[in-house]
Amino acid sequence: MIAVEAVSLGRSYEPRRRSTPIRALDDFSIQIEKGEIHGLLGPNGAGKTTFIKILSTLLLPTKGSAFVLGRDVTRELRFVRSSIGIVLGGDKGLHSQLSARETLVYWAALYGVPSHESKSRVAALLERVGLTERADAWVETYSRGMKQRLHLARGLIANAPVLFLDEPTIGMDPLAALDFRKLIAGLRDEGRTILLTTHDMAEAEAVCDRVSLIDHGKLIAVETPATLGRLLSQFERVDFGASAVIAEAVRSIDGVTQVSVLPQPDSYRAEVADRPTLSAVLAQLVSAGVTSVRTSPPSLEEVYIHLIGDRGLKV
Amino acid sequence: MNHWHVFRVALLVGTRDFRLFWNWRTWLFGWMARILTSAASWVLVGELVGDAGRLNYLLIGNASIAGVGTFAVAAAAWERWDGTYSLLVAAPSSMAPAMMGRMAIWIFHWVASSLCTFAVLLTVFGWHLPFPALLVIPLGVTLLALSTYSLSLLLGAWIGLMPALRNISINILTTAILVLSGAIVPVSFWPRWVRAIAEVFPATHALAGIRSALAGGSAWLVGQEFALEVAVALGWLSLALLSVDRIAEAGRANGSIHLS
Repeated sequence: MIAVEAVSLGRSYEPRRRSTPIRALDDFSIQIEKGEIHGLLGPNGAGKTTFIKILSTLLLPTKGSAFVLGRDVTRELRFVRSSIGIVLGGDKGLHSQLSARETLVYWAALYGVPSHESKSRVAALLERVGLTERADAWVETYSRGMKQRLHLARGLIANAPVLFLDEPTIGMDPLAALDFRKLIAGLRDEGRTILLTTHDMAEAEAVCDRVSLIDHGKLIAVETPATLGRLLSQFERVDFGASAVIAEAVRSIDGVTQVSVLPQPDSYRAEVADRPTLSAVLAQLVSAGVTSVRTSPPSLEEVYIHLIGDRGLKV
Repeated sequence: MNHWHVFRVALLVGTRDFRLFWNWRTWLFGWMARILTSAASWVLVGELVGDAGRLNYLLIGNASIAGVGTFAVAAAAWERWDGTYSLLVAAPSSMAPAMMGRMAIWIFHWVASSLCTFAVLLTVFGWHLPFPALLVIPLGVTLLALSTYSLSLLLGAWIGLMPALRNISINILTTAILVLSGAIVPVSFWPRWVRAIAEVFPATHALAGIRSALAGGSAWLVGQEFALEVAVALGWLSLALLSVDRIAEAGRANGSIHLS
């Protein structure tokens, strides 16, 4: 069953001082299965948040349609809003002068949880995200990781089957992020559908069933993290231990896109554009007497950079 | 959805807003000192003119509207700063009870400010009012605060969408109450079109009712003015309730609702 669907979705903005409209989303189509954790990857301004805003009923598309559990997000607001949980990343989205318990009671009321149920549901959620002991302290005293767990509990307050997570681990320390990913994995086991925007390739690789790469409002690829790597097999990489002279010789082979220095002494990584080039590189290394050679598929991060390009801070 | 339940939990958010601003010491010696200084300055102008009628007029006017209109509209903008505005829009419940609850705390603040100002100014300027007439003051001030709250709710709905207009709208609201309601200048002073605005503006009728009661006017006249103030409050409240969610919907179209 399809949980989230976009059909030729488009959203343009007409900025005041520019004659040409900005296309935040352009002919964007996607289907996300029920129970799937789906990652949205893309640089700043790619259109990830625009897509989430449309699905969350916060923004109307200028073209196309979007559906959550088969219901139109522009028309069936009540149903869609009751079916989704929004989990923001960062400090925003919480009243810092409330406690975690008060925060959840507040949002439970807004999501129509009956007041006699609210207390037990809030207690269960606090326990689940590990905030029971600090449940009555003001949110402003919480660490970044604790706030993020509260964000997640807030998103779960209505027991929504579809969750949108907007860069949920941004700013978290690695251990807190790891714990948080375990919580997300637990949600998959309950059959919830999760759409996750992130800049963290390791996170996408660790928790997502499939990832979509977005750039300039367009969908570039939708695949499992592993398949995306295989799709990009022409970007095979070769790690080898050799002298700088041999590394330079490898660099001069046609089809070698890049040779970079690895942290280990006299170690290099060559990235090649196709299979014949890979053979040529291996032949060159063998003829030079190099014995330390290892080939591997690219990580998701390398795939991302190959597909979207290294745009640095440009948006 | 249980709107009353939403209102009650949102009132807690407002109560905490209040606690972020004030404790009893800062409220009494900071806020009230400022309000009393401002109100007393106007009354002293009346004293300097040397006319007891003007002194009384300015005292009643300034004490009635002391502090009224402040903070409530800003509470709507705080949802934007907290990053909770988008979450409120995306919740299945109407935003109105949540906004009303968060802003309602300032009704108590206004009423308390006004009654304290009355108590201090009446004592300082030695004006003794008959007991039954005194009872009208809390009622009139509460009505005045409720109608101002209703208009603030409508303004707050717009400020949620356009938080940059927060300060200017609060200044316009408080200045308009000061100028239009008859607190300093009688409403009859203004040209007809300004009087027409004053008729539907918060505070005008409640203030007229308080003045009438303290001047020994008939209960019928006082009741009439208070009934008009209730009508004004209900009018603004109805408009606000009809508008809150529609205004947020406008933000969906123009893209001004940010996710955080």
